[in-house]
Amino acid sequence: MNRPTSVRIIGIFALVSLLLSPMMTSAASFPSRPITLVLPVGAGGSHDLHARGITSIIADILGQPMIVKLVPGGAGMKGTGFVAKAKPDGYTVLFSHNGFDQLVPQTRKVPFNTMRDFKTIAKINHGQPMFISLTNRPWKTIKGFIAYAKKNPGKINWGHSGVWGAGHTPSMQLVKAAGIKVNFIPHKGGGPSLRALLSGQDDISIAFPTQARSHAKSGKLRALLVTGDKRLSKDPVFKNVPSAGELGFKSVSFQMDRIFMAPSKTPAGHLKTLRTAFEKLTKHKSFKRFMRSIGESVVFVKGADYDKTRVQRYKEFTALIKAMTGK
Amino acid sequence: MESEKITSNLVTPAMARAEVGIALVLVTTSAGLSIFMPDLIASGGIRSAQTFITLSPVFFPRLAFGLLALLSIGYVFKTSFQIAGADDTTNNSDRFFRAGTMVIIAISYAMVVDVLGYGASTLFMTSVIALFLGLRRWRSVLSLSILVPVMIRFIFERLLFISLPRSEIEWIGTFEDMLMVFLTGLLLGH
Amino acid sequence: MLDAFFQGFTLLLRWDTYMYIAAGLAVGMFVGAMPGLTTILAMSVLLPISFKLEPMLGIPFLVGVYKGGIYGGSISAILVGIPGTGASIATTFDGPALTRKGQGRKALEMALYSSTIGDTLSDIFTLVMIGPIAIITLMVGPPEVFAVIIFSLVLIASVSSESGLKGAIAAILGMGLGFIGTDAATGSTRMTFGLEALSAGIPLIPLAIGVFAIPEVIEAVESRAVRFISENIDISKAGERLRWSEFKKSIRTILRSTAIGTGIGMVPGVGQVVAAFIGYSAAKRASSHPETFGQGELDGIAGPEAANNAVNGPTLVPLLTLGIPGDNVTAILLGAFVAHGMRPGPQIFQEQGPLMYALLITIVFANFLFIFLGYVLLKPFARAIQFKKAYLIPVILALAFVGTLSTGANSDVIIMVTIGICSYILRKFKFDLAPLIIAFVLAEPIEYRLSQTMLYARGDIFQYLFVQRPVASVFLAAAITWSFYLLFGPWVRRRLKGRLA
Repeated sequence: MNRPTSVRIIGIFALVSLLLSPMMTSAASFPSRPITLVLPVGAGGSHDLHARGITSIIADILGQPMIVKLVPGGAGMKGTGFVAKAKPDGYTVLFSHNGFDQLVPQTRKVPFNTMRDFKTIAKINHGQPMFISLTNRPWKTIKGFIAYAKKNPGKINWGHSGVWGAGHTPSMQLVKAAGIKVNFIPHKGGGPSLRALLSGQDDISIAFPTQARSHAKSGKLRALLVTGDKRLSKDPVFKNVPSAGELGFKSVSFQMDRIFMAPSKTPAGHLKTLRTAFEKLTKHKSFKRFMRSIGESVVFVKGADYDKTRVQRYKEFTALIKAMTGK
Repeated sequence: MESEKITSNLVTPAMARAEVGIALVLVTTSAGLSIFMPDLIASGGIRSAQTFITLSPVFFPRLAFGLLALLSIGYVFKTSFQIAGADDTTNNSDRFFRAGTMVIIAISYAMVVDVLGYGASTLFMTSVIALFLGLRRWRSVLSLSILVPVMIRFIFERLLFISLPRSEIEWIGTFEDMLMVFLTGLLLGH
Repeated sequence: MLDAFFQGFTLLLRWDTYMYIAAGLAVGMFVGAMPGLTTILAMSVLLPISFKLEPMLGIPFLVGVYKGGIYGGSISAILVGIPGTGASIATTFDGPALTRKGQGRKALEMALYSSTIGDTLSDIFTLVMIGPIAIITLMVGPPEVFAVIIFSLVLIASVSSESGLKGAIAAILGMGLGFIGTDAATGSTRMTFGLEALSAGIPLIPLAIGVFAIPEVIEAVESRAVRFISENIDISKAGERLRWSEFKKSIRTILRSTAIGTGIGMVPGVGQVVAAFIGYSAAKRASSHPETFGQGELDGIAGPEAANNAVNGPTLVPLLTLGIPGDNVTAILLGAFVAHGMRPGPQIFQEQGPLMYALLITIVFANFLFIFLGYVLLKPFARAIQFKKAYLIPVILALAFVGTLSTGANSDVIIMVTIGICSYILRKFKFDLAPLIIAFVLAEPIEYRLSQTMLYARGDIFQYLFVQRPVASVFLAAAITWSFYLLFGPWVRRRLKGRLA
């Protein structure tokens, strides 16, 4: 067999390139090698989808590829912990959302403190969850629903995408604000919870506009309420859905901010480069096109500005958690 | 579903005794886990706003490990009786030591990956195993040891965009980065 | 609807679609063959590439990667006992044994044919019955899933051949491992000992690599033999191809497994891994010589392989008809659809009929391409195993580590090695580790679905089950009866015989 010889030849080639390579590279400036983008979620979700689009475009802006590393599990804490522990040289970055950053760390013991250990690079958009129901249910508005729930305490099956998730948190806010007792049914993610709603198992659930759009259009489900103060006035399908704020439910305010974070010990110069790069990204034509095609908005908030609001939200969540767990 | 050939049921005395040891370990760990299960559960979840009883997170694991403890006790008895009948006299020490060496190599590799980074640790692992398995020509060993990590690193990091651990020792890390950039330039043209 | 179908057909008359499918298949096979690299990872990495292509090229490309990946996983499962994907775990029961007997190539070919036949039949079935399947998948809820899983467990247990005590111990150990992590129903973390590395539980692939690959590697080192293939096997025969007479014997198994896989595909949350186990167990049960299973039996390859591919067809239905992905793979496909401006859901067949039908048909055709491609690409893999161990073992170990490192944190590697060493020890004491993996995979869904069912039942479980969920009750009743039969049957029969004698 000729293999030992060919192995040898290739091996020598590798050795030679090893020795020659220092001569070939240019001076180091940030970034001089690929950046790792950690996602604390599993493959295939909306977060992953955003990340794939973003990393393919930002490579041109930064001059180096950005490689996605999925570290799912522990309600986002495993991935967050991974970045918290990583070397703060600017080459490891976290793509998270406000639930993972400001809420979940307060519900369990974690070896890091997100407020202290992370700084925001940028917020690129937010999603406004909506409360949805099948059209064959006896209520047509959120007020009708609440009345029904009050008459039938504990009988409503309320599905959500996971404990302390983007669907569960506003649900708890609404349940508390309306003073009703319901039967929460946890699902593993947005997909299964939407499916449970469509098959009639759940009476009410939460979804983002992107997921619910085609079903609302076909008349199978209707959106009852949108969280926050503002309606989705630009949305052709959902512009008539009332917002929680206008109906007096001011506390039902949870929205999912998609944010990029870096360890707080990252050198200031590198952080600035990253912040500028992301700002450029949100103005980039292909990025806007990509977001439009997946049905998402682009709402940019500078990292430094977002950092100012984080602590306040963190405290708001502390109060919510206390109320819901009685701890 | 065993993927080995059916070997005789004869066991060496040493193995038979070791088996009892394993059974005892199983009993103690499973009983311990079962009894102390509530302490092992950190509740971060919500118990209020749940009007109806769902399974407590303690229930299933406690049941499972309790059952395991019972079964392991039976296992202890069974293996104790087998000691008398163990009369295989083959000397397995050669196999044992070879296996043991491999175990040590595997453990060291796992622990070193964090410190030396994937490239360097794979290089060491490859040369050690190749030598251990009888590859004598130092040229073959060296070529293989360099080829394996470089190729794997290149294919996975540059072609498939999967990130592999980087060394904590700065000069090794920078060195590997430069090598990758060089190869990327050469083979991928940018 | 029919004319949309025919219009779709015309969209197929372009050769570049097939080129991209072939490329996807090849990449998928390669990735799948690397232990630890999941197809999901490959698909999400390649997603941006598929964005830049038009739908008729981008989506079949990803589908090709997916199909290639499942088979690729079988390649490493058969040759070195390392399952490249979760779906190939059941293939490791008979695969490596066949390789050691010098029948590696036959096993690879059997896997190829079973996989493609299962896939094709299930895809055609899906294409034709897409409406009814959509209705059925919606009706399947937590109680049904729970019942199906319990039923499968009983089936799998009924064919376990090894000593009951050790099998039960292995199974419960697997279950215990499955409970480590976060409880989906309440969000509390269990048995993590404060280690963040464990907070997500033990991921399947590092576990599978640990349970299968590490012991194989250590065992391979034990003997001083220079190569993997046993020395008393004639090397010249090692590349022998599968003969028609050998294949013919497994046709019934393939058909049965296809039916099983298609059925499992309609139940959300069960998936390919379990389908493969059920396919294997059913094949063993129906066989006239069950004792050969596990020692290198070609039927033991056909069983799981046909089943795990047959799951693909129905899994696509919720994605296409409702826009809801059933698992991670379909979630990525959804991303691909969406990025191309297509929104799967109730309207898509009306709005984009021809394109959708064309895509579905390409998925069927991909299987035919697959047979050719797979056949060609088989040979180098089959020959690679003939290299000296000194070359192969470092490579295998390095790849095993890459697999684990690529899908999680560095700490997973230590978990993998620890589990690997314990598995090796258990194997030495003649524990069969298959029940461990099966129980591990099923532990979490069982508890989760039971919790959900109890929540829906609102405390009144019997009324809920029997009145509202008849199908689930039937499965459960069957499972319970069967397990009683298994446990007490022989004993009762002996007593009766004694009385009558």
